[in-house]
Amino acid sequence: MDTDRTTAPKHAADDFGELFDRHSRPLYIYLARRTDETVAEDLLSETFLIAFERRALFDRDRTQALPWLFGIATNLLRRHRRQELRGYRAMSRSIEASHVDPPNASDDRLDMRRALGGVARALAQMPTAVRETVLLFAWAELSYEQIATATAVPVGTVRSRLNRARTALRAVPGALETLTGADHG
Amino acid sequence: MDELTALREYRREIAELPELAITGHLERAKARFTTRRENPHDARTKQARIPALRVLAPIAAAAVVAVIAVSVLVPRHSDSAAAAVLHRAADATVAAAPPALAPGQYLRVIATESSLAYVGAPSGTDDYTGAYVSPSVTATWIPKDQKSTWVREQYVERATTFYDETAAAAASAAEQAAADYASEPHQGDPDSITRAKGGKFSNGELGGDPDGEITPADLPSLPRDPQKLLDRLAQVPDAGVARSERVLTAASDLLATGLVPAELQSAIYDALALLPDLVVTRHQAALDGRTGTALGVKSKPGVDRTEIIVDDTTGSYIGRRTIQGAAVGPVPAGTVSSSTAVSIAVTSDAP
Repeated sequence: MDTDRTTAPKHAADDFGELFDRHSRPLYIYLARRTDETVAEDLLSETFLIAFERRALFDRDRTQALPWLFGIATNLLRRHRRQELRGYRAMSRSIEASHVDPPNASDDRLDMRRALGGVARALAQMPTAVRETVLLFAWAELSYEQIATATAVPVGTVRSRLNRARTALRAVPGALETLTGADHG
Repeated sequence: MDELTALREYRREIAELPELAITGHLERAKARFTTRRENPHDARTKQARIPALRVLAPIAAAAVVAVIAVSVLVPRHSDSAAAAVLHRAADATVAAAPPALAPGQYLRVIATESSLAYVGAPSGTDDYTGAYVSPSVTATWIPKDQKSTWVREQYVERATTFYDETAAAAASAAEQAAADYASEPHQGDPDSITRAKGGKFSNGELGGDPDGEITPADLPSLPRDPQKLLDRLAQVPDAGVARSERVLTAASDLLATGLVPAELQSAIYDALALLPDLVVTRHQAALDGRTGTALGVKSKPGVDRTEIIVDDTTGSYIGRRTIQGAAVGPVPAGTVSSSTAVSIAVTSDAP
């Protein structure tokens, strides 16, 4: 298994450069999906700076630095929560307002826009912890155990939060069918 | 496919940024990190920029789902056979004695679900190389007074079946199952038991039931006339799904609650018998150790099909399953991609 045990506890500056090269990409993409490309640059550098400052606190028993870094990034994102929610709501509203669509837009394209608008609305309505959990799972592709580490909760809590998120997303009308090509009636 | 598919599509354009753009962002972030690490007291470098919210980028392209044409299942009997099965089930339901609760007793409804979990696809694609069957159990204890506290226990069980294209993919599926905690049973985990007054579990916390959804509170007022009931079932919010499929799903959701009184259950069967495109898909369909008749809506090649399984000699609702219409990675078309078996009993206590 991929391990950062040798580099995590007492990182020299060079080690941290290596840690950055190793993990910055998935962290950046996750941060950019939740904010935007420019904010994500700042949050990424801030994540590694905090990790560097707290390197002495890094739990020696942890074998992977990635969930630890995602945990720091998740905390930093909370400062941007209002901005993020505005984004979801803006997305949702813009799609609801687009019922008068360009005449040349295809039905599939419009169905897709509406389905994604429903997803945006569902994300905006989720409690923070539930949203963080499902996004770490679906966007960051962390395992249950890694999410538990990143968000400092038991694995059972991760599972129940994911269940709640799935329930909310299942209630988004048309999302699954539009995206999976099911029959339209 | 699952309910996270749409979520994964949302803002996917970020994950698909040109390589040059991502490299540029990472280099700038690394330079900022390095500068700030080496000059920790430089206030200027610590000042984070927070630009105004950008307009969200255009929506990502539609998910590309490889649909492989397969031969559609040919019903062995005509539509009237499905109607006959349902009418027999309706008659048997009325004749059966419903479970009666004494004070302090609970109705225990156990839903045993098995779902295929696909693994091994590169990020953002559907090119799966392996899959495993993930079983889970949801047991709900419903008190005699339904307004008081319900108890629910949910846990996943050990993964059972592995599909793979190669030995490496099999190892990967097993590893993914382990990562997903599917390789171990989880009964008794913290948070596996939840309680909710009046049965209002997490859905309520996430904004309540969608308009038009049928809840246990609606059961007394649902029409008993089959045609009117059919019309009501067709109104559940499930846009994008064909009417018959929507009705079948709504009916099975209701039957799975364990709360449907006999005369309503009978009416549901009679209502389903009115669906013109419902067919008997298998006469001896086994689910969770019980056997019944499977009924499903005729589907196009490549499209998943939902079936309900009913014991027409007793009227019992056994469960529901979805048959995969197209091959996905190593899982062939015709495989049961998910199933839920329901069993109902009266118990004298709850956890």
